[in-house]
Amino acid sequence: MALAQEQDAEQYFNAHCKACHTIGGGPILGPDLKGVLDRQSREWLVEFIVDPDSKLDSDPYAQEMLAATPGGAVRMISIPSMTPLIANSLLDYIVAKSGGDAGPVAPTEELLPFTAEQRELGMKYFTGEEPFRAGAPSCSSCHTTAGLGAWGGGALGPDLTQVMSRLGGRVGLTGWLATPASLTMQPVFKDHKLIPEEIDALVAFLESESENTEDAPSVTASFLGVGVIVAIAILALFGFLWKDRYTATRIPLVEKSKR
Amino acid sequence: MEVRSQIAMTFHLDKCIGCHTCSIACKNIWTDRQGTEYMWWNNVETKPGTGYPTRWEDQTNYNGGWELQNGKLQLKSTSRSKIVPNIFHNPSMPTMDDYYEPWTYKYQELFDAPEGDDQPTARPISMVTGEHIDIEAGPNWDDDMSGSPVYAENDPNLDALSADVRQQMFEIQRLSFFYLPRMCNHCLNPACVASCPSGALYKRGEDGIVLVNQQRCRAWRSCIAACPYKKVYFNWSTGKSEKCILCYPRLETKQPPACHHSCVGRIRYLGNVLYDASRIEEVASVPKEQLIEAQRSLILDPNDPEVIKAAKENGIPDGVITSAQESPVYQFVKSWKLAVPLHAEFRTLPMLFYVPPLSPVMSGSDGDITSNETEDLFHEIKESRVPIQYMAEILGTGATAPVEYALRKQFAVRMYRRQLTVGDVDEATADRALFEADCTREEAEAIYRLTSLVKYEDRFVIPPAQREQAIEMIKDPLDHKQSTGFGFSSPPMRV
Repeated sequence: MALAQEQDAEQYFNAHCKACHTIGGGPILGPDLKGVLDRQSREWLVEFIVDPDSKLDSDPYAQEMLAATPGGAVRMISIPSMTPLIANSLLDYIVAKSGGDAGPVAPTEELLPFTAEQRELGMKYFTGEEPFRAGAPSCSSCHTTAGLGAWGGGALGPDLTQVMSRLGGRVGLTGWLATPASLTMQPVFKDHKLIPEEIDALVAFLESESENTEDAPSVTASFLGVGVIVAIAILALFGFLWKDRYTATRIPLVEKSKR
Repeated sequence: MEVRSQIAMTFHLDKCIGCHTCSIACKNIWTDRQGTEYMWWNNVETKPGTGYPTRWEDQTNYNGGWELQNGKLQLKSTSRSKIVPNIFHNPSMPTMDDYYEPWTYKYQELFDAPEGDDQPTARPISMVTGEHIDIEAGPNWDDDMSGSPVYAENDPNLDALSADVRQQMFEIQRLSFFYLPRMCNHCLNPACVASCPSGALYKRGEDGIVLVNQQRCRAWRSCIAACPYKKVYFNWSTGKSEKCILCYPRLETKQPPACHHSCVGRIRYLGNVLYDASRIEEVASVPKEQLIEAQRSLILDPNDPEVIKAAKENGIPDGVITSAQESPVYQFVKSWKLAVPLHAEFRTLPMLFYVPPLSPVMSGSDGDITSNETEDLFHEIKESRVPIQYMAEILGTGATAPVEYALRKQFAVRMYRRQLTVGDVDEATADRALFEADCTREEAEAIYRLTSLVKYEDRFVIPPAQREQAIEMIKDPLDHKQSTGFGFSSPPMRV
């Protein structure tokens, strides 16, 4: 499938690329793509877009770019639906947008400081107290932050206390949340997209969380400890509830005769 | 009236010598396989004693049998509401120790032992773990009142006796015991069948033998808790329940069960009786003290033309009716009322009846001399060494009347025979004894003959099974030559 019209290419770019890239808006997670065809050949770029992993593993230029971007260790993911034709259409779109008069693709809005209400709402979205409108699972199903304390959130995904700095600040995080790009999150959020209001609230919350100097404490040891105590308590309760249960007939008779 | 035929048994306890031959015969035929080592489908207990498994008669923990709740029969061990909470653990079963841990001896040690100062010994090893064990219990550990302070004194039937009577029973001059051979009673109202969630237990239509379908058994073990006589056992190797099959392969070829056949004292009688199946629930629900009479009333007179007609209408073959007319069990249970069921208060309507035993003359001690307390050859029934009340707990649902009636009649028959053969009892005394025992001279003669002169054919009146003829119509029996016996054409699988 080729993306015949510029509109299709724009939609595709917004859906799959915008989380990490701008065109003339400066680098966020990935490099700014303005004038990318001036820096590399079209052939190389198509190969990279279709299969980023093999280039990132072997090509010195790709590795150099990876080290230079704010995302640091965030590798570009391979998009399952990507074909060389789509890659070419995307490059055409980038060339068109790099012309200058259309203005940068992102970010467009002026960055206002977040309000306390937004931060509070963000915490509610994070913990699931307030459900996401599209039915996405709450963040704390898999993630935790220092502000939530030891029992605050899940341990399946990474600790999000310092996620602001890891994902390229407010712009990068907003982009990420619009289209989560990791292989784990992508399928979960694909059909349950967050709306801008929710994203702003979450970013506000995570921004305030990044003021914590330490990550959320590890709960493995205390969880194990509590588990053992609860198990013993349940066994003790059973032992008490069924203390008169039948155990043996002959042995008590023998014991009684010895007394 | 729905007439059916049931194979019933009578054990004449006055003749039992406690030799355990019946148990061994059964063991050698049926329970010498892996997983059945601890099972004794037939066992002989000493009374007073706790039996096998320990205190099986006490249903406080074992919860066997039926009870009346608001006039309705309910299983003690299980119900629709109890079965789910107990689905992974049935709390009312005897432990392995209550049966006993089966053992054998390491005979090889007799040959392998290095030369030493002493004889080599074969050490006991558990047949469950294979490890060396210290034997602490066995299936007849309390045989002949051994270990009395642990076993005999804890006989549940003694609870009804006063402390005085209990103490007297265990005085050395008065000590007495009798034997109680036990096996599956093939009850008319079997608790094991009623309790099985898989429907694996069933009562055979033609002769009432209670069997476990080894293919359908799913190891719930409800039957083990439900049977008040603890005569269903769990095979730990196959994961199926097993019980006495009344040697049906033998019965079908007109042979008595192995335990009956091998009985040294010839105490065992077997024959079929006709009974009214439509009255089972009604009879099992009567008040405790009426149970024995009600159960007797369930058994029908095989010579009554009405009964014969109803039996034929219900498809009972002529040969089965004829054998019911000759059944020794009918004589003992119905005609003479000599035999009573064991613990009828469990309400399973057991079809094994016991003739209560007379006990030795009471003796007492006068200083250092121990002597009989009576000058007479036979003592008065009420002065039996084994208190009537004790016997009544076992065989009379706690009421002394049925047991006393049976003992008095046996006493009268002895007087009658003594008068005839020895002559040291005068005719008037013998006749008075017979009159008091509700017995005629003809009846006394018949009792004497069926007790003392009894022949093989008189003891075992086995109804024709006609199984071979039925099978021959659909398949050739020779195809199955050497493939019969207790076992499986396809091995049972745990499911």
